[in-house]
This record gives sequence, structure tokens and C-alpha cells, in this order.
Amino acid sequence: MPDLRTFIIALSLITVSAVLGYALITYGLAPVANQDLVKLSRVYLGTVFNKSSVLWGASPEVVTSIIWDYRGLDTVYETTVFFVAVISALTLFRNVKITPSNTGRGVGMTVIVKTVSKIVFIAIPAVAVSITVHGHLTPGGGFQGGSTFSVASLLMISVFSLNLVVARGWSKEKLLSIRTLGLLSVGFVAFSTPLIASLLGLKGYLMQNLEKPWAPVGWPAEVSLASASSILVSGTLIVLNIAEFVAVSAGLSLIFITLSLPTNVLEEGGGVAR
Amino acid sequence: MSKEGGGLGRVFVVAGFVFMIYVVFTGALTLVDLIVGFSTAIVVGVLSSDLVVKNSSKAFELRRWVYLLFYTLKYLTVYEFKAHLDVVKRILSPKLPVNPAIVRVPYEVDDEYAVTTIANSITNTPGTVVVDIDVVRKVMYVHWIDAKAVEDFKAREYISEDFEKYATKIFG
Repeated sequence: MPDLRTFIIALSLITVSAVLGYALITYGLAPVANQDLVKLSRVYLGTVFNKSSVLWGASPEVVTSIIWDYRGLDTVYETTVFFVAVISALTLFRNVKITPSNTGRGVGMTVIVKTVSKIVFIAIPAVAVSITVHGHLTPGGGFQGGSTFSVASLLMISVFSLNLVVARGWSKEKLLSIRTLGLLSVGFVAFSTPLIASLLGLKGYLMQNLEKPWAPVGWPAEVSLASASSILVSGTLIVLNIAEFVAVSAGLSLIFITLSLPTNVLEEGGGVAR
Repeated sequence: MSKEGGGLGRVFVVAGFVFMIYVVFTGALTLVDLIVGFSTAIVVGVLSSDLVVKNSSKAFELRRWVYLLFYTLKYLTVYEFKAHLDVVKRILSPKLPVNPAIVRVPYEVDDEYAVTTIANSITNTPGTVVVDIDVVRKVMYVHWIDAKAVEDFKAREYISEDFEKYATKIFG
């Protein structure tokens, strides 16, 4: 039987949350930001977001249009950091052999979990690729898409067992090659503009994205396919996103596979003193 | 790869599903999305169809889809409502009339999608939860809030007979 004290505490809690909720709905959602634009935003909206400007960033999204030309730099640095991280991790386990015979028994979870995970497993790549390919229109991108994809690897390892993943041919060498392919593509895109520009005797910048009046070599902002209306591909961004997606998917998957190895295999191959 | 319902049919079924997910998630049907979605679907289909689908010919039988639609509607309305009502009564009753037990519920289907349908149908209705499954002896261990029967087949009559009937028609 609740006493008077409990009753009063409950009543006051209800009152407080009701008052706070009412205040939040009534006043909290009212606009508080200054509606006038500051000078900096005027400059950006007038140049990179303005289609008639020579500095047009070719993006329908304000934030992306502002950081457009920096995105290439961003991707290259992010790929470099990721490259070093993966290489360091693999160096620690450099002598580890990943073969179907040393990756456990391959039992996995129950048939119920496996069946449900199969459906999720094939849906993840679709979502990951969509995030990647729309990286120039939305807050997604190659890194986000690649990380999403690697969840599929993790799901595979935890639900179906590491043994099945390795037995299906996802070897260390294969994943490393796929990752290297992605990295090489990033490098190719970064050097492509200055290379072609120097061959033509023009000015070009490393990682240059769209063409500029003083540096007229760049990747196309829009591509026309057959009779269809032009498609916004946003210069180097879509290529960098796809290359990054490939590199991150393969790199993260390889790390997950390595870290899921049985302890004795890691100890034997890692050169760790016992 | 030349088994019944194997090979290209399997790839087609998986690719169709992946393409559908792609379009729904993207929320657009531009030319680029069609091309990218199609290629993604084909790659995923080729790489994983042998793992995901055993017999794709079932996916082309209209009768199964009609049963699937019918069962989905019936499950979400009739079975869910009955089970919720029963548990709500137990919760609201001051006497707390529960008689919990873990019972063994046998099943007879072979297809893993059918087994999963039965198991998830049992778990998703309040009052019963599948806690383990033994695929060799073909029994599920079900926690039941009000064990009306503890004998295997008697329990199945109460818990999963209807689910199994539809699961067989859809996936079996």
C-alpha cells in the first residue's frame, strides 16, 4: 500500500514533466536564430551556391557546395589515416595465416538467427552503395558507405562463424588486393587533374575537382547519358566516394576477420612471446 | 549449380530483393539509381545467392505469395490481438494468474524459412517465447506464460499449429 509520501513524489514528478513538456512545445520550438544573414554566409551563398557564379560548386546542398573543393582533400587524408591504421593492425598480426582449417569449427548461431540475418545481410550492401553513390547530395559518402558495408562482414562472422567467411574465399590476400585497388583509384583521381593540365600546358591543382577560369581542367559536374537529362555527378566526388567505399569495406572487413581469429592462432602468428 | 531451383533463378530472386531494398532506401528512380541499383543487385546476387536461397522456384509460385499476404494480415490482426488481450488480462488481474513453464513444441517443416516463420510467429505473440531450437530432433523449446499443456503435441496444438499450417503453405 503506497503511503502519502510516495503519492506526493509521484504527483510532483508528473506535474514537473507536464509543465516542462508544455513549455517546450509552446516556447521551445519557436525560432530563436537571427534571420539576417551574416556577411560570410552572403559571400558563400553568392559564389559557390550560385549557379551563375564561376565559383559555382555544382551542389544542390548548401553545406556540400561550400566544402566541395575541400572534400577531395578530406577524402585523401581520411584514406591515408585509415590506410595507416589498417597497415599497423595487420603488421601486428603479420604472420597470421587465415585458412579454413584454423578458424574454428564454423557452427554459428541457431537456424532462426541465421535465416533472419541472411535477409538483413543482403540488404546491407544495397543501403551501403546507396549511401556511397549519393555522397555528393547527402551527408553520406564513401567512408560511411564502407563502414555500413563492413557491418555485413561482422554479421556474417558473428552469426555464421568466421570459418564460413574464410571458406567462401574471403582470404587476406583477396581483401588486401581489393583495398589496394580502392586506394590506387583515390590516388589516380587526386593526381589526374594536374597531370592532364601539365600535359596540355595549363594550370592544374592537385586534387582539383571542378574546372576554374584560371585552371580550366577539371572533372565534369554533370554527365549526359543518351537522351536523358544531365545527371549531377559532382566532379571527382562520386569517383572518390566509390573508391573510398571499396577501400574501407575491404579494409574494415579484413580487420574484423583478423580480430575474430581464435586466440591461439593470433599468438602463433603474431610473434608474441609465450 | 544445375539443381532444381538453383543457378540463375537464385541469383534473380536475391537480385530482385536487393534492387527493391536499394530503390526503397534511396527513394528515387533516376537513371543513375537504376543502373547502380541493378549492378549492386547482380553483384550481391552472384556472390551470396547460394547462401541465401536454396530453392528459388518457390518464389515464382503465386499461390505462396497469396498465402503470405493472407497470413501476414491474419497474424498482425487476429493472432496478435488474441495474444495481447490474453496477456493484458493477466497483467491487470490482481491475482496475477500465470503458470509459466518451458515446453517442448515439435515441428515438421524442413525449409529453414518455414522454421524461422514459425519460431518468430511464436516469439512475436506475447505470452510465448522460443528460447531454443533443436534442428536434429525438430523441436523448439518455448517459454509459455500459461502452460495449458506440457505434453509435446498437446502444447503444439495450443501454440504453433496454425502458424505451422501457414508456414508450410508459404515456404514448405
